[in-house]
Amino acid sequence: MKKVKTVFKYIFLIILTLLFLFPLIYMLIGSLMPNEEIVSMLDFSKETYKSIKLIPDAFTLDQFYQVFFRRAQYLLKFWNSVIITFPTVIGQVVVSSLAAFAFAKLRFPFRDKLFFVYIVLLILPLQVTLVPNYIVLDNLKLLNSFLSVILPGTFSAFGICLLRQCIKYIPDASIEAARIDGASYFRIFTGIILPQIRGGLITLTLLCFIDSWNAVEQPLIYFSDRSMYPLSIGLADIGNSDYGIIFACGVMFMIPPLLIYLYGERDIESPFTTSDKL
Amino acid sequence: MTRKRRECIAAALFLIPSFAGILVFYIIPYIICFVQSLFIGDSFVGFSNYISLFSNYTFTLALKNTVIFTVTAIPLLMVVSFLIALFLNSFKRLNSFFRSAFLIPVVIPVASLIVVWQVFFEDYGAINGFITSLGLPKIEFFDSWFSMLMIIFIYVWKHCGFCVILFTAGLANIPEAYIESARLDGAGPLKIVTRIKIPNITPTIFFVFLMAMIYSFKIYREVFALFGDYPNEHVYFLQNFVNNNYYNLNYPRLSAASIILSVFIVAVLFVFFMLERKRNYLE
Amino acid sequence: MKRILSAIIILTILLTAAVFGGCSKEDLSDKQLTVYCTKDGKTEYEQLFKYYNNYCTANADFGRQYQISFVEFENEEELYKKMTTETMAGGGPDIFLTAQYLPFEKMIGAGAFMDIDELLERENCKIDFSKLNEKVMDSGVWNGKRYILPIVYSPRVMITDRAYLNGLNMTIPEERRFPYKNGYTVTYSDLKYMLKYAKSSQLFSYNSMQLMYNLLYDNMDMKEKKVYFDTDKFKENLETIKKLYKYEVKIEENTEDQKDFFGDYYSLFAYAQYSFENFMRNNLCGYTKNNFEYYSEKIEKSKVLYKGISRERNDNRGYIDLGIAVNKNTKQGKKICEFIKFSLSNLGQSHMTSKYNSFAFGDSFPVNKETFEKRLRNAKEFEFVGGDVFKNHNSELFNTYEKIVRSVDDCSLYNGSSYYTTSIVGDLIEQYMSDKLPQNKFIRQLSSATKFYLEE
Repeated sequence: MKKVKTVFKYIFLIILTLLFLFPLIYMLIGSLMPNEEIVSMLDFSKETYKSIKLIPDAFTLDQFYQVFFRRAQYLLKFWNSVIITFPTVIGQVVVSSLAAFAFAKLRFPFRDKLFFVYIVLLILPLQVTLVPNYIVLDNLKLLNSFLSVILPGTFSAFGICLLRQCIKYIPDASIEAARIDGASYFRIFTGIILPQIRGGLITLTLLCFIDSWNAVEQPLIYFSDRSMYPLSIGLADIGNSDYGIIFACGVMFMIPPLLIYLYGERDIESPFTTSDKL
Repeated sequence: MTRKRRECIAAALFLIPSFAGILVFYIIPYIICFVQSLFIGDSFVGFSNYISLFSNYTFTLALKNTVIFTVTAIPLLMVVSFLIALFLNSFKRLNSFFRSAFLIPVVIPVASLIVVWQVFFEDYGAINGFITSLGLPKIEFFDSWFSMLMIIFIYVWKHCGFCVILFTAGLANIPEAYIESARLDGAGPLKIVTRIKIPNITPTIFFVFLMAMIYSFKIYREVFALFGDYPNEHVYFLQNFVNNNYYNLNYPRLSAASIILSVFIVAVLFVFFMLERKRNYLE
Repeated sequence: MKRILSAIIILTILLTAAVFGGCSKEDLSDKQLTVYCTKDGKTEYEQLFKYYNNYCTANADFGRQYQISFVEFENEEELYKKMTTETMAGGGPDIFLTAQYLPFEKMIGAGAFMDIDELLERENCKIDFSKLNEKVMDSGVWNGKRYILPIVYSPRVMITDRAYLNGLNMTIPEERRFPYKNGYTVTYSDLKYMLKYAKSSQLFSYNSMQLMYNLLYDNMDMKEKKVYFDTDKFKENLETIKKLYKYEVKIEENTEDQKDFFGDYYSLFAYAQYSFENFMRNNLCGYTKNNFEYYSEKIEKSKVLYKGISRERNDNRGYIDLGIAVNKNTKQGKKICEFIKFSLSNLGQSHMTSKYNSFAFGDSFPVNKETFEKRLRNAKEFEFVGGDVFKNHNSELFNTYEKIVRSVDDCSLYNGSSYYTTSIVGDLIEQYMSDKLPQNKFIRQLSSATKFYLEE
């Protein structure tokens, strides 16, 4: 009886996992299909119902060939994406972890109120602050430089929330002990807090990376020099007709976040339980 | 120097970088935004932008849809991911592959995903093929209230993985002894979940709620990619309204709508914080 | 504690002041007026500004700083995003042109434009509106304020072929037959009958989309924010235009016909069975520029000139070919007034509508009454055709044309594509035209998108 239950549980688990992995599989397959096949797959005007096609009629690497060799602009834009994304991610992780430490472990007046203000301001949709930010950046003479996208991107509610939660799990006793030993708050931060929130830091890195990697609006509005546009704008540019390229670019686009993800996989799985593992 | 004093100064130093950024890129813009919402063109009009918003059909529709989405999708996401987390936790040993698979949806770029959703949900897509083969009438996912269901599904699907991980981490932190003693007292599995597990992970629940809230404002990307600037009336959200007014250059109206949106966010968050406060007192 | 709080507040104020500090100390006397344009779009209005710039340099009172300069963009989308943000942030171009793809009806509601009457009064600049075509000028007035200033306009005209109509008239019910009378008004509903015998090769115009767009404009009220898409008449007209579109697609696929089209445009015009060509901007005056005269006798005999295409028989609508709107953020009112004065003056208008230059609006009609009369007089005068052939334009066809132009009493803001038809409902129209969307669904989605767009 118990065995049957376990088998069912595993079957359910596999179905569940497939449900989440399916689009990825589909995308990988799509990127290997010849363009005509994808187009016919997405042509809904024939009044016949589509079935999910998992085995292409023909395999081709043409899309990847196109992206990497024929349309080199995508590779150039890739580099711009890197210039924008890396400083943003590093900045965000540093700024968020500092603030998160203060909010989680230090006692100071108006702490919760200030945190509340942070969250509210940072949760606002992008369009709201786009115009005022433009005014601010214009006055700071930052327009048309990479900084105009990097700096606003550095501050995010998400990072502060996530890391605050991670740090909260660290027992107060260990901090208290270090404090009594005469360690400065900065020492406590670097020596005790940071090593214990590795999972949180890597999770934040990944999610922040994806966000900044996908940014379209800010570069488009703040840069007037087209050669500075990142890949995300290129991806949005492709339009609806070239599905093969969309799939291939999508796959290429996914590689960097996936690498980060695989690198930190063990930590990401349990951002709050690192202390248990030690 | 007292300890309290030192802690205050330390906190201030830790907060300076983020506060400077927030001041320049959020608080100042927000003030500009508020001031703009009191003007039309160059003339001061007080709150008439706000009043005209509430008599505007499109705005009230957008507000209604946003509220519907928030109150259904967020709890649904939390329940679904909690159940999955419970399910995963019931395995004694589990390959990490299974847990990480749930995070994949976040990594895939929206533009490529849309194509997949279209194959599923189009009028002649796979799902309708299945439904009609059962002899049921087909569903117009792109042109009826099913659009809202579809968006909720995509939202839950996409952000479930991260919430599952948060919940599993929370559940793993519950000492085994609590559950064991409850079991010895004769509590059934349901009772263990409601009486032991849920109360013990309240901080996690609040945190997941906050994340779900932040994510719920990002769903606009999918709506935009699936429906364009002008979706049907069932999935016309506040972000659509704000975004379209941005492109129509109606900055006064855009800022008034944003202020209302932020009041809405403040209200929800406020309730959430009050609850968390209460919890903290109990602990 | 109090100290920390007050320090924060002071810091905020200081930073705000620093951020805004740069705003006010700008010296404008040396700055030229700006117009935004795309690389491709520039040629359309470049001539007008070039001429004005020359005029400025020649005029001692003005000089270089009165000139207008272009800020160029790669494509429409880029221009639009930049311009939107800059305008909302308190900057942007000084002058907008109606030929650009901007949501003018929305921008008016958002208070993005300056009331031109007010501007003229403030700058103490007098313009005698009685010397201009007041009916046309009034079409730029919204809610009692002059937000858009028409500069040149065109009537809606259609030319068709007698022989074709003759064959057609035998097969359609008597009450729907077309009189061979020049100046008769054709409505959208008439199109259905005109199409009855059309073979694809008989069509050489590529403007059914334009027709579609105009049908939409004619069935909505931008000023009142209302749409009338749910009528049987509208549905019927939609189907007709779709049919027309399909004929055109067929031609496009047929390379043989395309060669004809590009090979000898005017001979095709003379011999083709019928055409909606003149529905577009290339009105009759346009043809007088080239070797039209060579065929004119043939045309005179075989063609009928109709008014339209309109919604109602008694419509006398034209459209604004080029108009300007002024950014409310501009601080250069004086210079803009000078530009307005110039572009409405006989000098500026004559230049713009002169048939000898290659200016894109050379075929349009000036709003200045004096220039208008001169323009018509010139068009009627003898033309050198080639060899020793001269031709007088004082013909029935041309006189009809004149009558139609004179009867225009209202101008629509757009003709053909605009921001609304491309960005808002462009995808829907395309799907409908290519049969991917059934009509009832199309109308539902079209109405909802349009209503949202107008209401927002």
